[in-house]
Amino acid sequence: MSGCPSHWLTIAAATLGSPGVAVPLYAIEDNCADPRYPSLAGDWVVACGKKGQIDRLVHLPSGRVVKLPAPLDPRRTGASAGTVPGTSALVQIGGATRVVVVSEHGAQELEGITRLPGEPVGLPATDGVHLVAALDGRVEALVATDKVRPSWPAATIGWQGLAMSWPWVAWVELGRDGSEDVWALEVGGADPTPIAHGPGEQRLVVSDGPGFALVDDGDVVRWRPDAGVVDRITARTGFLSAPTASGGAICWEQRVPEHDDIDIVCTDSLGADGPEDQLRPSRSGPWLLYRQAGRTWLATSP
Amino acid sequence: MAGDVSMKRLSPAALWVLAAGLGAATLMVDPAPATSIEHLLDIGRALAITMLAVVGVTGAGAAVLAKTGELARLDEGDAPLGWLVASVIGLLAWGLGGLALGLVGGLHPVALLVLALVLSLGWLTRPKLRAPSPTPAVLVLIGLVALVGMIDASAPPIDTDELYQHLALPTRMLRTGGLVGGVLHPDGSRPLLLHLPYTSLLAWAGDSAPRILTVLSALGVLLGTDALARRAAPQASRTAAVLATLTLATSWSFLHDAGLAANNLPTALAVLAALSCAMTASPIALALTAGAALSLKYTAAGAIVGIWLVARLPLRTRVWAGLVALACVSPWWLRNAIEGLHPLFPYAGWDQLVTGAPPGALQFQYLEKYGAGRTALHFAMLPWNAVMTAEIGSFRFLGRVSPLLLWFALPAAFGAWRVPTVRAPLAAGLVGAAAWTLGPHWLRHLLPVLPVLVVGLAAGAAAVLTGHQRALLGAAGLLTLAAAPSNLAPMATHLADRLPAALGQESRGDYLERVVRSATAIEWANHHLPEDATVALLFDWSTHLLERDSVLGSVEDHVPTRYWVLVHGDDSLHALRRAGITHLVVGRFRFLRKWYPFLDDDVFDDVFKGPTDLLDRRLLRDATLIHEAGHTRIYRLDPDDESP
Repeated sequence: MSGCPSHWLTIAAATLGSPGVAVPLYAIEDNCADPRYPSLAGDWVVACGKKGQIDRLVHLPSGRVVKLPAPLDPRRTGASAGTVPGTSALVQIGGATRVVVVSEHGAQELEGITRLPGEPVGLPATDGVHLVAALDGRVEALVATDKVRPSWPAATIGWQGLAMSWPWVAWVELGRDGSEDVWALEVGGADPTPIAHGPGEQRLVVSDGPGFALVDDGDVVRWRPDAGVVDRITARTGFLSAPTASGGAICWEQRVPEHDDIDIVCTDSLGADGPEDQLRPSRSGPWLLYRQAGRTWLATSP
Repeated sequence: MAGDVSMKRLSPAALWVLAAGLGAATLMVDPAPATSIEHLLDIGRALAITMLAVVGVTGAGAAVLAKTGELARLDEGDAPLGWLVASVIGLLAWGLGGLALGLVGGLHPVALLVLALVLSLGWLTRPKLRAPSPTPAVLVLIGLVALVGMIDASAPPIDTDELYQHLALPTRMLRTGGLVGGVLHPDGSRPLLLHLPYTSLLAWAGDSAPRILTVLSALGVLLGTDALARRAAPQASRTAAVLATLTLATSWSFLHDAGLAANNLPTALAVLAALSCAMTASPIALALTAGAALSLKYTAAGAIVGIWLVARLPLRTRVWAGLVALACVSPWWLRNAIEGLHPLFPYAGWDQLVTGAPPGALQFQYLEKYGAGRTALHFAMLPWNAVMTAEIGSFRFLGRVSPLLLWFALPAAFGAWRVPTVRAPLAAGLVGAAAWTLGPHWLRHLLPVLPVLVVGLAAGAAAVLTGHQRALLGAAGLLTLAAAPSNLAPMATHLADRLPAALGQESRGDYLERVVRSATAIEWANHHLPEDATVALLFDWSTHLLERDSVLGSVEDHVPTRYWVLVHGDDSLHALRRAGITHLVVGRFRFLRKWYPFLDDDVFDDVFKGPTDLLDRRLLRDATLIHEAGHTRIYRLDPDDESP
């Protein structure tokens, strides 16, 4: 790993958000080329510049902005909290494979990353050490600097991102009945197998730390490698964004037909509601980032 | 000596064989292939099939002309016109035959082939049709236009109108085996005289074939212009022919349409045929070609009225010919009426649909949106603005034409005064051009009358300046050179981008993904949506590329989608579901306020902003996003019991 110089811009040298309330983040525009961004990754907001490319991360506790050495295309980039507390990791597949780790010390583009040739099918994922991606007809999962590239045949449906809970990887395929199923594999272990399938739609799988969270016919389901489905939460979600999980809490978009409204519901005290639609939740620790009326909002736990 | 004779006999054949062999080797041995042999063979097959079909159906037209005795008049002199009129009458028969097949659900490749073969039986009557005999210099221009058109036709289709209408309708008709129309397929309720032949060609030889038919139409227009200009200015026939065809062949709007699946140039061909009939006093052929022109595109109406007015026919015959022409168009009006639609739907009648009238003032088209303005002063300046200040990439006329049109005006006026043969084409052209000013100021809508107009203008100029032919041609060349940056350079840029795809160097998928903004999402849909899915395209126009049954799509200002949302409101997506729709392709489209400065804010909000906002709201409540790529989203419609 070697460090690249990064620029620190002081847009707001103060904590973003305010405990117990939701505030609009005027500095974080809803302008990314992939609307799944801006999103949270650890203590950071992954944000885009004027051309819709990811070119900066904003540190939530301090409000400081780290510019990336070179922008990343959000349509082929995965982002999540890094393995080191307080860090964020991003991976871009397609052309050169780039892994960037952002910490309070700046943005570091990792060297010696194994190149994954081809265009990603759906968003890849990384934690700064490992990376997983779906390429044409296969899933690859590896230590980012390993020259050996283990891969498994997989008919990933595309667009929906891969989920990584190392050494487990999960994704969505179309079943024989034409409906969506969630598949997973253990790197160095079992072959790919469906972990959620059936007549309905199982989709939008994400990592929730020890396992995965996914949407099963509108409900939110938690899955653990050692125990299978451990929790099923009745919901009306999965119509736009994937659920989002952090520290044991899960948040999701919820249709509220009684009010002809869409809110964001979490399993803890956070959430977002109101007369406008609250959409595209991204959860990390005490923060919940979401979109409302074309603007980015941040709710913070009390 | 005997050896010399033998060489003279053998040489041409041997040279042809040698050239063919070496040509094949050049293509096949190339170490860095600049082309794909398979792709070239596909294009060659499409070209051969299209030419065979055109020659075949021309037989039906030739038989009609021979039977009526009008062929002799048309083929008099050294500029025969029978081939032009026969091909248009053949096209009329091909389209109406297709209509009959469509009404009984018979739009299948074999049935369509039988139709073409039946029409080809016209050749059994042995009509003595003469081939065109163009001016040699015009052949050079024809060759250049053929090259331009074939490059365009050989690359994948990307033009908006091709994708949502001209290729989309044949695609949909082939999928269903019958005609399409009504509120879910509004474009299919237009006259389909061209789209039914397109359906045959698409079925037999893929989507290059319909575009090759347009290339042939463009070449036919140039050949017809040549012949008519020579007839209109017999004392300066070659100059008139060169000036007229040069004006067309160096106009961006003409060149751009030459390789597109579009009806402007086939309509221009029919209008020229009607003028040929008017100038040769051939009433039956006039009626049929005028009917064909109107059925190909209503924008021919002005030119047809002009031609009807100048036709060398007694009043009674003229009225009779006009009524027969209208009778040729009437099947399309009747079809709409039987289906409960306004005869002129989708241009009119959106407020009379059985699905209900939209609230507010939904209008098919806002004429004010196009051109340079519609005040009296703007109309006075229109010839100047349309020729000199038009823009290819904006609503300011959406095209370019050669400034030769303006340059000819003064001498042509003198020519018409002095030479009687110039008057008919010039008057017809001016009536057609005047009618064009009443509609949307798109230069491509001027194409149906443009050849008639340039025949009149060029013949008039050539006829009045008979002693100064070289000076006239030299000055025209200079003016053409000055207009090249605005007319020819954009075309060259366009072709340079398409050439790798036309040669098969760049794959169809890669090219479409690079150029058509929804292609990536459509490609995903083709691979992942169920085979029996029925897709509604909302604010998207890529119908032809989608390999599933589909409804709606674009028409001017996305009227179908806006109508549906305005009429059904919060129930819009449920109503689609009830209509059998399973999936949606939705373009992220915003109507910019600056495009409609002539609308009040509340009208704009009601008919443009309102429907787009409401659709976005309903998509969140009644559909599930399953894919998104760039500006295009794909949704699965939720069953009614799963939606709020």
